[in-house]
Amino acid sequence: MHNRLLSRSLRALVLLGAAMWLYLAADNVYHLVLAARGLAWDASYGTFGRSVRAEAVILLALLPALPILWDMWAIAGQCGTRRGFDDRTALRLRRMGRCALATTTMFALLVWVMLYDRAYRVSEQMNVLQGLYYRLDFYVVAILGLTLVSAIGTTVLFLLSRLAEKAALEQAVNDLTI
Amino acid sequence: MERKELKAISLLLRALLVLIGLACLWQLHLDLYPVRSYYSMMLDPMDPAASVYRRGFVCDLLVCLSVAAVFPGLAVLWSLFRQVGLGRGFYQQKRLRLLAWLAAVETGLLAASDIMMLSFRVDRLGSGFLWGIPSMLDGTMLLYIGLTLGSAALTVVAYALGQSAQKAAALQDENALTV
Repeated sequence: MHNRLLSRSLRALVLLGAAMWLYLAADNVYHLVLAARGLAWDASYGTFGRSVRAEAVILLALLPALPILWDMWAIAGQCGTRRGFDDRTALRLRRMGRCALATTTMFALLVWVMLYDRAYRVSEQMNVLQGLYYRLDFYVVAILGLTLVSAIGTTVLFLLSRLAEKAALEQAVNDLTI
Repeated sequence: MERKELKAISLLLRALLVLIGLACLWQLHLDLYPVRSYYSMMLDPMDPAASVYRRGFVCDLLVCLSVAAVFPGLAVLWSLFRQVGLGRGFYQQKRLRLLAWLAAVETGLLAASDIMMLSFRVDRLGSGFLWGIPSMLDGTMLLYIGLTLGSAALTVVAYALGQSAQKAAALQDENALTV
């Protein structure tokens, strides 16, 4: 009963995450199209070029989140049963780790793009701290934080997949000896 | 997994935690500025917008509190990741339970600031329902909703792992007794 409740709450969170993913993807595509139209209208104006680049990287960062949500749904369902970590869980965790690595890379690229785009705000007269104020605004720090959290998630998923592999192997040995 | 490998992973995880701590400190520094300015503005009772400033102050204060609440969680994660490097077993039920509690508090604070932020943006719905929703759910709002969902997921996962750890510890104790 307790496990089933945990499983259901995890699945509800995954569903909410999926709904948010859909909304974000639609919003991102809409803005990407708007920026591309702007770029076609006036190629000399840098803002549209910057927007197209940033929106494209965000879209690339969103893509690996879909298989992660799919595998999270499956693992959350497994929490509700009495089955432990098996071969399939290990496989799912490894795939989630790989996708999380892709997301981390894309977030890191996004941070780099954002910092690059904000370089024009900093003049030579400013000292280091003033330059930091203009570069590291709310959005850059938020995406930087997400990159770091995603990197931790990647490492933890890698550890968990190794644990699951070990557990599956022990289970197989037990099955053989019985 | 080899001891050296585990130690390297533990060090990497803790280095990432330090970077997250630094990012949170910077964010807190940025978030404190609107709190201070709203506080000075809301003190004037003759100002017709004083109630709006008061709401802004509460909203930004909640955001600051949610950033500050990250630090105890980082401390618990630090000690959890340190155990990974020591190669000990899954004997961490107290830390995981504490992490679940801290994540629950963080989720509550984030949810409260989400509601406050949405209350500021609700008048944007006036531009028509279909066009109002995207202008209400802007980048900042989506970021905060995402963080709230992530924090809620961490709460559930930490709770579930704490339960598993408790079970594993009980089994280990039983084995120790029977051996």
